[in-house]
Parts: sequence; structure tokens; C-alpha cells
Amino acid sequence: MAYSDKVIDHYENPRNVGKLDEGSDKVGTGMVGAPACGDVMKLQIQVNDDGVIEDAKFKTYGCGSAIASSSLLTEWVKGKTLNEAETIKNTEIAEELALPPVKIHCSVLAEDAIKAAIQDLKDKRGEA
Amino acid sequence: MSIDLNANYFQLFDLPQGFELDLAELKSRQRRLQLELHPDRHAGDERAQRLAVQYTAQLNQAFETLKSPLLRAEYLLQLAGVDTNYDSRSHSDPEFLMAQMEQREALEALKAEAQQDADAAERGLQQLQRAQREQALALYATFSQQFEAGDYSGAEALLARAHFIEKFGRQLRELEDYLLDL
Repeated sequence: MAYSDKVIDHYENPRNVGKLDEGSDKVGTGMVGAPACGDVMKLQIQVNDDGVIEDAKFKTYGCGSAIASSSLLTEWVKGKTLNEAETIKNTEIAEELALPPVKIHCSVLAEDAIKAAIQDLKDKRGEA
Repeated sequence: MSIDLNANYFQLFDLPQGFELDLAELKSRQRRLQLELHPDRHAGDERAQRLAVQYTAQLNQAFETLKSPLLRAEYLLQLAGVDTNYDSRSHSDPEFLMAQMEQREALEALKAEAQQDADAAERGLQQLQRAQREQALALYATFSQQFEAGDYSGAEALLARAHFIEKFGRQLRELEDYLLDL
């Protein structure tokens, strides 16, 4: 199967690979996996005092599309508020990366990861 | 000799429907049925031969499904009416997934280490393989209990986990091949 140029670019030069301090109350961690292919994705966000995401990191063990989806997402969420980041849809990721139908679930995984990270941060801060 | 194409895979082999399975018995029944159904036994009879090919394909499919613990577990849940299609479902179980990620990090480190010290990488691989096998055994034992107890949602959650553990097992075999080729 042919990957799009954008997927290959993110796969070969993934942005924001790494980790943030999980213990910090400014950091939210989202951990999700896809049973269908066994991929595992960890996505972390760090917010500043204004609730704006100032940094994002990820680590993904999976196929090129899963890596590209999480890499792209970390780029997108930086500078966004949590509420803005929460509205990102997997379809936007899939469209940007021109994912084929069999790889749509990789973008779903990325959307679930950012939602989980935001939820983790809200839980930490005692917000509903 | 014919088989009922609508029979489930356990019925096909006349084995009790459940996760615990006598693998030796499955293999011997597979061989016997294969011989009885072999298309070559119908030389000259095109229709019978075509049917025999169909039976053999069904038999092989059934055998491969029952032989693999993962596929057998999945098949049992399907027979029980549980949705086991994970195509667009993600799994969130942070503790389990974190452990999975750590194992994959360890595998990645071994692969990097292999160039410098192949023996150390080999030992590390064996350790990871043992851990993976133990995890799989423990998981399937629990699956069997929960399935027998009729706890299908619990069993389904374990099947989801099994997919990750089996994937890691495949990656370990790939590393094994890689180390052999060094």
C-alpha cells in the first residue's frame, strides 16, 4: 500500500517525539491502543497558566499512519486551548494525511489519545 | 464422505465447544478428515471433486482457527454473539498499555544493542520471550475461566488485550530472525 507524501514525511521526521513530566499538574497523558493491529500510542500535553497547550509530545509503536497521525496531532494542538483541542476530529487528520480507508482507525486512535490526555489533565485539576 | 458446511468448527471436528482443547486430538482428527475428504479420492468425478475442494478449504480454516488460542478465543466469543471486530475501536487501559509500551521500548533497545553485543541482545530477547509467553498463558487461563463462567464482557476485554500480547510475540519473532541474520 502506498503512503502519501505527508505520511512519509511525518514517519521519517516525526515531530515532538518524547515525553513530558507525567507527575506535573500541567501535564495530561493519554494512553490508547488499537486491538485490531496492536498499536500503542501515548500522547502528552502541557498547558500554561492560561490553559493554552504550550507543548505536546508523543510516542507511538505502530504503523506509519499511526505515527504520522500522532505526530501531526502534536503539531496541531500546540497553541490551542483545551476546548479547541478537544474539537479536533479524526476525519481532519485522515484528510490532511490522505489516509486510505483501512488506515482511518489510526486517526481515530490519535483523536482518542488527545481526548484521553485532556481528560487526564482535567481530572488532575479537579475539573469535570 | 461429506461434511456439513453449516456446522461450527467444533462440531466439524466433533470436539467439545470451549476454550480448553486437546490439541493432539484436534491434529489427529484434522489428518483423518483430510484424508477422507481429499479431492484426489474423486478422480474423474468433477462435481464431487469440486465439493471436496470446498470441504478441504473449510476444514483448513476450521483447523487454523481452533489451533490458535487467539483465534479460538475470538471464534468462541463470535459464536456467543459478541462483537469482536476491533477495526475502529480503541482500547484504553492505561496500566496495561503502559506495560505494553515498556516492553516495546525494551525490544527497540535490544535491536539497537544487537550491533554491538549480539550475545547480550540474545539473552535480552530470551527474557522478553519468556515474559511474553507467561503473559499469554496467564491471560488465556483467565479467559477460559471467564468464558466458561459466562462472563462474556470480561472475556472480550481479555481478547482485546490478547491482540497486543500476540502482536508483541510476532515482533519478538521478527527480532529473533533479525539476530539470526547478523
